[in-house]
Amino acid sequence: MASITTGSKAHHDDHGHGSHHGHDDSYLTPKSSLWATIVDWATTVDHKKIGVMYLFTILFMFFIGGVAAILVRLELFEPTRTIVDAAGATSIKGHLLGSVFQGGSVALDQANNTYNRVFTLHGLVMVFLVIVPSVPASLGNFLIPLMLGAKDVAFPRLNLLSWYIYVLGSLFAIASALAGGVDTGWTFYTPYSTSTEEGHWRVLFMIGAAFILGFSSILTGLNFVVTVHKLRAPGMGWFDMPLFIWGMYGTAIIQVLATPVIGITLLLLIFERVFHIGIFDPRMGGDPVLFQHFFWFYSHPVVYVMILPGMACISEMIAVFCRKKVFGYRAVAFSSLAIAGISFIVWGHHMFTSQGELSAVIFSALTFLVALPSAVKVFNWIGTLYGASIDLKTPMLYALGFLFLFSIGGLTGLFLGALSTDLHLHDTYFVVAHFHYVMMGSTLIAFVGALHMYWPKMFGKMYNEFWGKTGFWLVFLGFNLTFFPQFIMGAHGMPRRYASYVDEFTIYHQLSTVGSLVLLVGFLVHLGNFIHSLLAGPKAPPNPWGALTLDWTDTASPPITHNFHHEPVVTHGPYDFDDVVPPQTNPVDFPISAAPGKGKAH
Amino acid sequence: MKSTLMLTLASERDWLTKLWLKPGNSDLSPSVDGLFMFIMWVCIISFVALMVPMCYWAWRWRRKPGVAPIRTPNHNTFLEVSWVVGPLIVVTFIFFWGFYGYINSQVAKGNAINIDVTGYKWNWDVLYPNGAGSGQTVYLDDLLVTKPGETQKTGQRGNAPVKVIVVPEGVPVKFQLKSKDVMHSFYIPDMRLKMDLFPNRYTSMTFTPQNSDPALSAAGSIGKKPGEKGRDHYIFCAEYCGTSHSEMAAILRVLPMDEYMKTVEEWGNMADKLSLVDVGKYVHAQRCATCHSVDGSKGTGPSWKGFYLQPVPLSVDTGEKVDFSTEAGWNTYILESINYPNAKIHAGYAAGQMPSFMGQLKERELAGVVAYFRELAGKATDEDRKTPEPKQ
Repeated sequence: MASITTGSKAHHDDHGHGSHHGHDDSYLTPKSSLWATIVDWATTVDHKKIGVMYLFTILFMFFIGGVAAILVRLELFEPTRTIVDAAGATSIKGHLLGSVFQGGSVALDQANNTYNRVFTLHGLVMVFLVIVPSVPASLGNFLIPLMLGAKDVAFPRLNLLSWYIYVLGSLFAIASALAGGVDTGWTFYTPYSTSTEEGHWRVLFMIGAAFILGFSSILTGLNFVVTVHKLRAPGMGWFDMPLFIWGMYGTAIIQVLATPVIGITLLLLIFERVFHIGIFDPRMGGDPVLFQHFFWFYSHPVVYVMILPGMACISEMIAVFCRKKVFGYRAVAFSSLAIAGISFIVWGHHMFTSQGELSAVIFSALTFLVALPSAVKVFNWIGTLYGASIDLKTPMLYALGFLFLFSIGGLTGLFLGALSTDLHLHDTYFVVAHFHYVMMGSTLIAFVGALHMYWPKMFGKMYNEFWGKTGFWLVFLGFNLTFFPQFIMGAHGMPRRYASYVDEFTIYHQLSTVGSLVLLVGFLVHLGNFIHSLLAGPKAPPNPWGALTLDWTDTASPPITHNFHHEPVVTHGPYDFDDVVPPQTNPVDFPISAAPGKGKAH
Repeated sequence: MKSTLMLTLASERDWLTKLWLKPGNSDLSPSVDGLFMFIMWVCIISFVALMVPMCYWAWRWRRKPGVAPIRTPNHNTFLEVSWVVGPLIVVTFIFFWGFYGYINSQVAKGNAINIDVTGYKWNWDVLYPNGAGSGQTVYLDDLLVTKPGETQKTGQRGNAPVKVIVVPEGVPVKFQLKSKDVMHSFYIPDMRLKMDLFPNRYTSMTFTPQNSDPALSAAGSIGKKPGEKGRDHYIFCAEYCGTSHSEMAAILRVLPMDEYMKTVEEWGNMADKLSLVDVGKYVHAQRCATCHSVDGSKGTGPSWKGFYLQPVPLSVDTGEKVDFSTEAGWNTYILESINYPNAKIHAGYAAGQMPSFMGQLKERELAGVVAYFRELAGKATDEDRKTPEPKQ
């Protein structure tokens, strides 16, 4: 909003200095030996290196979760059937997983168990190890100090600790999966999760993994809250912050406030399994609905931990690639906080079929409230396009793709917020499609788009635009083909978490499976493009997109170890494209509009 | 005549409704379907209203060399207030419509017939007011029907036999729901209704089935003999409950009132009309077939084939001497397993899988189970196979 004009001259001097590359090396410069480099990375407190380490661990977990997803889809390509031959002997057909993992023909219940483990692994990995940390821990860590003009986050050592905690949690999850996995579902609903494989360590390890990962999440959130409050560059008021920071700030608040609840809940679940203290299991005097309340009290706000960072990325992509101030900046900023606030009072909408009438009605009414700030954001983003100068590069395509998919994901939430339609649709594929449109179609799409946008900044190399766009179209089409049929079969009554199904759903499952393979190809194209960029991509200029935030204007690509040569001074708003020629660019590429009659805009 | 009318109504659903919803068959479905399609139109209109300007502007304002973005206002209070208030009015309307349908599915009418449903891993038990259970099972997804005394045809079939639950046409029914072990969810898509089952509390749901025309049965794939009366609907378990979650289905059959009364009465006396072996077969298909095969294949529990009088390897030696070679010893073992499933566990199988059936089987049904074991071991007696004299 109001820009601070003092220090403008000094600011431009800084650029002259920065563009000539100072004495400092890029943060990626290796040490003298390989071992020294490894030690340097393993003990670094540099937020950029930690962000990059997070990025690669998260992408690795995304690969594991993705393989599980493809296995689930292949399994569901055709329904499992018992074949009775003329002699009366029976055999099983249509059970791919059982055949792969158990070797040839298997008993039906063994095959079902394998399927249950694979879909549980997919859910656990994607939620706890990929989507929750995805944008905040990787891009957030990397960008927040750069955007704020700070040298690092507020607590750099805590930051490194949070990465190690994340790795520890991942190891627990991987150990459990390698030992055979768990069949609890990612929601760990009691009393099933209390009673399944009674006393086995695998289940404890998986619950323990989610418990441990919570601490990583809390520490990251805490770090971000303090960083945003205390480390903004001189001249940067709250409303001069990029909208990415607003989104991260809302996310961090939810992480700090909500994650302890899941920690306590999972600990109670572990106590119940190990010491047989009756908390959730009726056999010991507990109450299973209590678990659902605890679980969703965390897990609903966490839906917004997943989506707010996506929205944060979208605000940046749209502003920069449209060269426009985001329409209604304050409304977008406050809607992040509104979403963070309301998200704490709608958890009961996951439980319309398992709670009393009064609370169901209250939660339904509250749920519709949370739709409004999300709608406001979409309206504002689309409004930003008007009169813009839109560059349809890969990140912008992803931003438009996000608007398409998030609109579907958000609007289909109306069916689930309304009580009578939810009684029909709850726990069907309609819900599966809805939350994939929001979690994957929105958050992960925004993540991949933002990864393209910030790739040059992070690694100093450009990616190939043609293959980036090709990847986008494959992902976009594959995604819709995978998940849109699931809305229809859900409305027809196909329950979720089914290893098999009645014949009438076959066509929808087959479309969905084909779509998932297209989606896989799209991601592989992106992977190849990124690898090619690292090995042979052209060198990236400091500000390839003509952005106005400090991460582009005041640093090199990749940034130097200390981020900035001098403490930056903020002289204009993050999106004042109308009045400011983007520093570190060729001004011909980014013309500014002629000043209207009234002169200066500010 | 009424069914013809319903057929006409069903065929008059517009193409969009047909794409999204299968024909409903409860008093709730008009309200639920109406709301569903109303929201659908809200979604379509909103989506188009968002995407058309987005795509048009993305093209109209695409970047051209040397062309700067034009200056436009950065916000507009009237516009921003209106796009909060407008959607607020729409969602408030949707909320009240949903509230209306929900309350109708929760508060049973005074003349509703109470039917108890108990879920357990992985089957449904049903209990009618006269004490009858379900007396028929079918396979989903083929036309094989297993009724006592029938032989199976060959071909493809669903993975476990599922029960038929009958309800009367035009009369409100209230399902009272509870679980024996973990959570389940009793879901009847065509009635637009589901409710979760808990091991520590009762839940309920209510609706009035609308029509019993067999021609309108949910899918051609439901196992039903030609000429059988009633309209069939799938019942699914919608809350994940472990291994055979996807096989935990049942059939809801809507019958005319007189047929319903006849069927429930017949089911109430079933055990008295069949031979002991057939009673055992019936009990097995009703309650045991999900986990125990009769063809020797391993399931969640051991197969019953050739089991009779054979020594049972136990996973934990309790020190108790069981003489499996005598009828008395072996029968004691089986009855104990029915009443206290975890007392002795067959080696190679997990404990804690089977719920107790204590008090749920009549004496004749228990005797029938044992007779069926004898039959499967080729040791059934004439007495086992004898159909009882009809009672006067």
